[in-house]
Amino acid sequence: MPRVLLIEDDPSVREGVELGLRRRGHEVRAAETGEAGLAALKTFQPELVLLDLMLPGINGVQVCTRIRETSQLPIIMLTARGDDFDVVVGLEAGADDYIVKPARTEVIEARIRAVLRRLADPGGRPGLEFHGELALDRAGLTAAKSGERLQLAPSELKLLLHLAASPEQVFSRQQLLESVWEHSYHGDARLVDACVRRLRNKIEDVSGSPRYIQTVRGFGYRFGPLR
Amino acid sequence: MRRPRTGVLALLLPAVLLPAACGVRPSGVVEVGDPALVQTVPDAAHGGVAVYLKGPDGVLPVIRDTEGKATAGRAVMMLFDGPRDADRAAGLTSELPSYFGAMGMELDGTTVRITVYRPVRDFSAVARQQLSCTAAHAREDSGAVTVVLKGNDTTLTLERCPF
Amino acid sequence: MIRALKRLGRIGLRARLVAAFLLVAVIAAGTTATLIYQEARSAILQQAQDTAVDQLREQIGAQKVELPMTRDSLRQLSLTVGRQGKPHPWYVYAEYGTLRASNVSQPTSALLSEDLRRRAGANPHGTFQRVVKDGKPWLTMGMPVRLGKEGMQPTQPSGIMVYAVMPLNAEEDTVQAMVNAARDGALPALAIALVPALLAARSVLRPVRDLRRAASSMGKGRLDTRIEVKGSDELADLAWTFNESARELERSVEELQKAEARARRFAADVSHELRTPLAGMLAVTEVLDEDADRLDPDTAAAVRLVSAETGKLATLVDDLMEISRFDAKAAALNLDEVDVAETIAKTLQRRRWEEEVVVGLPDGIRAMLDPRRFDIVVANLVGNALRHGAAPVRVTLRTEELPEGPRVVTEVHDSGPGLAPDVLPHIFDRFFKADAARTRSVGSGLGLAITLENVRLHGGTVRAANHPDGGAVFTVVLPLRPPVAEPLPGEPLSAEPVS
Repeated sequence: MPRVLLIEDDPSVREGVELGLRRRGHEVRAAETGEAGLAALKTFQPELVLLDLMLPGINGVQVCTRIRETSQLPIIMLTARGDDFDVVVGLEAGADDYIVKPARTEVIEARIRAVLRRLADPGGRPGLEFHGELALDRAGLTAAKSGERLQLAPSELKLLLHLAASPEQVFSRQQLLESVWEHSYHGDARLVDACVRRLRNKIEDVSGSPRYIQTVRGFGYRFGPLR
Repeated sequence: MRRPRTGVLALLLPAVLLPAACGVRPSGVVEVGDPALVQTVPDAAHGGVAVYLKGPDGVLPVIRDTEGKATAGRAVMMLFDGPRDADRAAGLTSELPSYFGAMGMELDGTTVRITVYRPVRDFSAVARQQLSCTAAHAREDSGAVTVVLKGNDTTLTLERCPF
Repeated sequence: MIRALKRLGRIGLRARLVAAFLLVAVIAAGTTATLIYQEARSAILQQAQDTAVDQLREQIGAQKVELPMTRDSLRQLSLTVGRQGKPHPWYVYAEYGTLRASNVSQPTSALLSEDLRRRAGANPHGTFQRVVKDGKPWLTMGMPVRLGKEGMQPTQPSGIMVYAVMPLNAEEDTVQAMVNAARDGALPALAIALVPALLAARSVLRPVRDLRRAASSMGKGRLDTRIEVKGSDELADLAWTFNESARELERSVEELQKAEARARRFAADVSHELRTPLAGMLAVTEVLDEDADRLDPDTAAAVRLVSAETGKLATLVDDLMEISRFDAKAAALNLDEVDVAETIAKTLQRRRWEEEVVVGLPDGIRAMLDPRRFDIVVANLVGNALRHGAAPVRVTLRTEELPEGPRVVTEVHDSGPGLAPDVLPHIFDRFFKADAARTRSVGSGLGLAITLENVRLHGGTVRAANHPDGGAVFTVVLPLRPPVAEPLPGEPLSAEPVS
């Protein structure tokens, strides 16, 4: 069971989540502040970070950004509905998913599993796939552009692999939510939009006219076609 | 503003029509001033005497021409002569019986004494008035004369002539 | 009469003012004209009458008569006197005893009334009378003739009575001319009277119209409407009072709005605060449930109770938060173009309701919806149908072209007993529980209220009714394309995926 770093300032939430996850067999380290959390990263070496958006001191978005500077660790944000910070801001900072508090532990667990799943489950064919400048390794779960390794967060990689597995097929955002994030069909489509935005920043040459991740108005996204 | 206009006109109409309904209105009888006064011919200076006959509304004078002799005696005698044709044509009569007998007349201050030789008691009020007026006006034009009538049977003091 | 007056009361202000002015003008002009007319008429007639009578007296007085009069002399008298008729020719009728004569063919006239004859004969005075015959006015005079000298009384009767009849046509014409003049003068006067009437009306109506406009503007919600205060009369006072009242009203409304905002904020803050302890509690409910069996029965029951209630509390707080966001107008619509049938199907799948729900969901209906909110709406309605109605529940979908635009209509129809008529109007109220006996149901009591707000946010409507075939039916009508609204900061306006 993956090691989870929980960064949450509220003691009851911290205790509750920690207790719940530990019962399910996770090793959990809880940090009260962003700074403590960042410090714990080095010492605890978690496999996933549960990060509260609203933290005293440096807030969750800043922590997320800091983490993303050096690692592509899966990050799940804990938000409360009606938070001042828009969820989108957190997503843009690099979070892979978000959970709305209060949530049952089983829900938290399901999210954790979803985020971590594809990492451990290779999409299929071994070997490299070449699409334009991109080189995708499904088994190794890496991607490179023009030979240079891309630093992709888990959600970004999963999205890219999912789209690239069926080039030129249009996926609606609801479908992507279901397939890539295992949210319900009716989930928050902004999750997909934010991830697409981050992905494009990393792989597209010209941000104005994306080549790889294309928008199909009124329907969704598709990979290519590459001209 | 359509309906109000007719309402306003309705108010105006009677005001406009009202004066038109007037004009010269009939009136009641109004007394205004004195009656007309005429002179008779011939007048007293020219021998005219008034003899009083009975008219539809009372005693009325008719003028007899005495041919210069305008005396009270003549007047009374003419009265006793009775109404003439012209008088009768006008509907004038006398209640004084005709008398062609002798007659005496005395003037005593403001009293005129007439003596006739027949009964006088049955002279009617009108007859007496005729006599009184005739005598009075022959003597003077005013009526401040008392007339005494002496007949066979009695002597009457006649009432003053009303005019 | 009363009804006519009442009808007058409903006539407008301008008309009433004009009518009043005209009435005053009419009365003034009418009264003046009538008085003047009456005086003038009297004067005209008096002039004619006096002239005629004096002349008659004089003419007769100038005659020398022979008594007794004969028919001839009577006629001669009539002719002589009649020749001098003033101001108009006379018909002279002379009477003496039984004799009658005149200066015309008839010896007597029907115009001479009994009254005149009686009075003329009774007193030694001249008399006259105005008579109207066949619409023509006549002056009849009676002049008794007496013997005597001027100034010497008493005079004695001559037995002669002279009557004269004179037409008053000229006077009538003069009088009529006056009437016409009055009438002709009155109409322009009335026309002129209209001018001050209209001016007065305008000076009153303009402020009144301003007031009406201001009141209407206030009614439309512009509480900062004020009127210009001109002059210092009652209308100015009214305008001033209006402004004061408007100010007060604006202030009160601001106060109320602030109070409402405070109340909403409080509700939002309370829910917000509740979530934090709940988050901790909810995270451990499974721990309690799992280990409950290991406890003694009473503690186990207590633990399970706490666990269950915590769950419900969490749902309630969630719903409260949701409602607070609606109230604070902070709820945002995340629109996406979706296949509506697919969305509904997914909703049912997720909650494993496919068995109990019969669907009529045609393909190809695409609409711009917020899928999360639409999911909540459908789940709430179907959940209610299954819980409070009875299976099978029918969910149908169709499009309709309404005058407001194309709409997508979703109907949820259950086979239960339907909704009681006293419940129906309140069913979307917050915390309204349809069945008083069922003091607590699974839901928080806010489900339908949230559904209503979600539907409204889309610019649609939701209605509850009893289906003619029995059972309750809820109809959600949403626009195919929502109306263009101002985008909230940070929110994408359209559902276009990021390009």
